[in-house]
Amino acid sequence: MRVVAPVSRTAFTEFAEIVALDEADFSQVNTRSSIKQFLFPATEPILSYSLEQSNVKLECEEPPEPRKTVIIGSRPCDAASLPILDKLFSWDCEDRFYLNRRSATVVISIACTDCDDCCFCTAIGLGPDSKQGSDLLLVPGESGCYNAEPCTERGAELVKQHEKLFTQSAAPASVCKAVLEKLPKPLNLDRIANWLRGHFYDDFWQAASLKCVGCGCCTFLCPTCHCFDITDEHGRYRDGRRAGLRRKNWDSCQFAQFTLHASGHNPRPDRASRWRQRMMHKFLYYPERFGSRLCTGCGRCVRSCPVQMDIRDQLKAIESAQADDDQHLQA
Amino acid sequence: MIDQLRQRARELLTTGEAACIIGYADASVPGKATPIVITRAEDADRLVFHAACCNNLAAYLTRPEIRKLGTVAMVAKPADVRAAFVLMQENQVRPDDVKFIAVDVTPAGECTLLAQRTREELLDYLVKNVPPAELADDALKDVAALEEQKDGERWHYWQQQFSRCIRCYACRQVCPLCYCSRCVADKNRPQWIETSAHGRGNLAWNITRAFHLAGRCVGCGECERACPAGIPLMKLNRKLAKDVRDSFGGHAAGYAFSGEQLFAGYSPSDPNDFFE
Amino acid sequence: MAEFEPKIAAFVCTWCTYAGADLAGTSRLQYASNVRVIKLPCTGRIDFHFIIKAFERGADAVLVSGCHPGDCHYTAGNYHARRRWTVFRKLLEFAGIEPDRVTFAWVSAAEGAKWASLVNEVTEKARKLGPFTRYQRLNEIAEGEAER
Repeated sequence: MRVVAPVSRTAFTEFAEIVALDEADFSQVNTRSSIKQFLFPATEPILSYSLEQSNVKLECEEPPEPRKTVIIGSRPCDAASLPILDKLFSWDCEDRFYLNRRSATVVISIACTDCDDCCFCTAIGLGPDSKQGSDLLLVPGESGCYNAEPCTERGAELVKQHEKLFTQSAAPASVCKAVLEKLPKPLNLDRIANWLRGHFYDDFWQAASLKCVGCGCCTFLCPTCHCFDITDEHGRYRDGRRAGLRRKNWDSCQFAQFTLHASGHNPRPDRASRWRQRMMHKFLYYPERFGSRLCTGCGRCVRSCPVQMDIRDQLKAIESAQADDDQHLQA
Repeated sequence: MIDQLRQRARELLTTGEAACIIGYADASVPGKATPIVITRAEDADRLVFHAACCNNLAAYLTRPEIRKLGTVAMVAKPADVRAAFVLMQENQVRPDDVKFIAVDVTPAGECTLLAQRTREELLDYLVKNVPPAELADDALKDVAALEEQKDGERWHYWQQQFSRCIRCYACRQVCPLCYCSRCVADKNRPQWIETSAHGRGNLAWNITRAFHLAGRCVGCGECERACPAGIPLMKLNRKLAKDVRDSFGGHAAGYAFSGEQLFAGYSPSDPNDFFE
Repeated sequence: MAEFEPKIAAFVCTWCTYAGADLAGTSRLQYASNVRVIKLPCTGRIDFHFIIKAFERGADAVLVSGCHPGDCHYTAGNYHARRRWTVFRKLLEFAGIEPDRVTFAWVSAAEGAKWASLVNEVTEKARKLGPFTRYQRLNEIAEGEAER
């Protein structure tokens, strides 16, 4: 079993395994990368094989037993990505790699008392004290205490098992008002989806993506982005047989070859079509198929983008463009 | 200074000398800047220049969407001018297709618009006034410190750094000199560089990129700044810049816009002492 | 316990070093058998990825050898190679790879004896350094045999 928490050992605050609570740093707005790495790592073997002439021997088809993990100190925006990913990874096939880790993971989130210039959970329907995806939510109260709110059966079980660590609280702690004042107003996500539905071909995409350099920062740091690549890696000889591993690696729709076909055709040959895909997937396709946006407003894409692409600006522009359209229709 | 910069941009657009300006605008996040491409003179007021304007805009010179627009005038800090010069030297950009609105930031933090405009004037200015920042004594201190360690310690150091690499390729995408339409890391017949974010694949990737930039990196530092994992990529680039300088008669990238590139050529008197 | 036998990959050019190695053979010179030879037309064709790949595939040391400067069968291939290696070997060392694990040499078609003694020397250097456990650890992690 392991406990992971935000630690500030380098210039960034990142999740890492801790053995003592004082190693953790709960004071930062958020970690650089999200908790998805514990359920869906950047690279993961999915099967191994060895070859003898033309005989292929598959050696490992069941995912290994995952380490039981307690994540403590995730923010509500990160925790909220889990129910979104749960749907995706049990949709057309059950991704046992993700699902096994998921059931071996307990999430204890800490509500936010502060935010920075990039946070926007409230814009997409969440908040600094959202419970989605958490087993237990700790809301900071006065004098360093936390008010613990079980959000799932597992969370309630956890509290029950460690009753001695908790005392009954008179009233639920309310989230710090100051942070709510800093966070943005909600966007009209339906309106945004409507515009996206009607504007697959639009000059907007070229202008919106011109400065994008096509790296994978936004997709890799995003807690809800889940696309992956399957690749075979040959290794060294093992027991006289050529052996190798099939791996599942993070992939990004922003990479030029993401949709490259074996024929050589690429349906998304330019930056604009790839950027459009990102916006469409997050705010139209995924909601249409799974009923929720593919975004939790954590702001990592904005924070980490090397050229300061801002998804919020684009969403606002789309929302007001559709509002104008709607007005014209009504008139 | 900013008024003069905007005025120059306006002139370039209205006279038709440039079809577009690549510069900086204020980003949505306060205090940060973002690249911007403007094609109309009236948009020149959106241009800014301050200490947070860190992007190397030469990275946009090789973009097909930008090339299509025509002659480009780019707001360029010295490192960015050097990058554009390397692109010209490597025949990726036609010299006449790029105009410069050259700027600089003094050590005191004062932003200035340079009077030099043509590439000949700018080359002269760079050679006389702007030694390669990546080779300054201060800049090489951490490289020297690493060199002094035992190889085992260095291995451990780099393995720790590369263990955080998630292969987002932000380092490659922001770099003006990483312009290959198909990067070697993206080729899989055969797969020279494993795409997986494990120690082996990450070592191969980072060594490859560092070496492919040897003699070409202009020390803008964007790769390190863009890296979401905080890997000190410039240590590798500075180390190679130093070795290239010491092995090849003081060579530094970007101080010429024509002539043969360092690794495109050779000399019968190149160092030979390490051969058995 | 058996003595450690290093695995050495040698990237050699066809026209000089490979012929020199051939001469060592026809001269019946006895020398260490640890080297696996990979023949290429010219050292100029050798990409640094070959060296990295050799370590990834389990080599303990790498030898790169070609025609003497001025004698390249393709006129200047070895000059291009030499310029690249000047910088690349320093990068490898900076990354923490022991410099004695990579050796560069010029061996002509007439230097059978030099080839033999070169291989012996490289083998001894590698034997002293021991197995390339650092890279093997990376391999074990990548190949799923060990935890990060």
